[in-house]
Amino acid sequence: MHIDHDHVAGGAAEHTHTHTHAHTHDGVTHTHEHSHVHSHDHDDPHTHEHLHGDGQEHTHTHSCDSNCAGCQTPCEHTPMEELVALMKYMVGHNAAHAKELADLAVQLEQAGSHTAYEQVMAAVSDFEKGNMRLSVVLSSLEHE
Amino acid sequence: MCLSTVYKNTLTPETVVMKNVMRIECKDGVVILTDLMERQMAIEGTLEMANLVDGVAIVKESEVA
Repeated sequence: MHIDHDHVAGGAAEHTHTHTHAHTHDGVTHTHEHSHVHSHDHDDPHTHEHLHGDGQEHTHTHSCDSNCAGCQTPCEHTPMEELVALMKYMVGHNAAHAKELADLAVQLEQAGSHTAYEQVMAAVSDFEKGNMRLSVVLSSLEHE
Repeated sequence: MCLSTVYKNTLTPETVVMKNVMRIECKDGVVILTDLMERQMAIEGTLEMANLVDGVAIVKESEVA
């Protein structure tokens, strides 16, 4: 699978590029360079089909490998948007972990350890307080 | 459950191919990675290892003949 390719002619809609990638014909994998015209929007990543001279058709995917430097088709998301998305994920993830810990506490009590149950539930409470603080930060970031 | 960092062939800082990976699909000899922002990357090869505790996975890239 190739990552980089060279544009022979620019243009978001229809353009030609030359690239190299490995693919398999009749069970034999090989690499060769070819160029072709396609007319898809050049979002990253994208997948397209192309036809070779021997009649073989296949699909492959282009991706920028998260290399923003020199990118001709910048991503839709800013670094801050990515950080906010990560924060959002973490807050939700922590909430899921808190629930798992609470379930674990219940199992400890059912197994006869009431003291462990109380201690784990106290830890869950502390955990939720920390997550609440993160949630406030997230809310603040989302409204900036 | 947690997001993972995916490496190509070996587990070194230089071989990180994608961070914050939330989904890994293996289909027709291609490993498709999707990160938190829904960006996708496809690598021809196989999923060699996934450590779900440490949040790391290694994709072994196919050798081109």
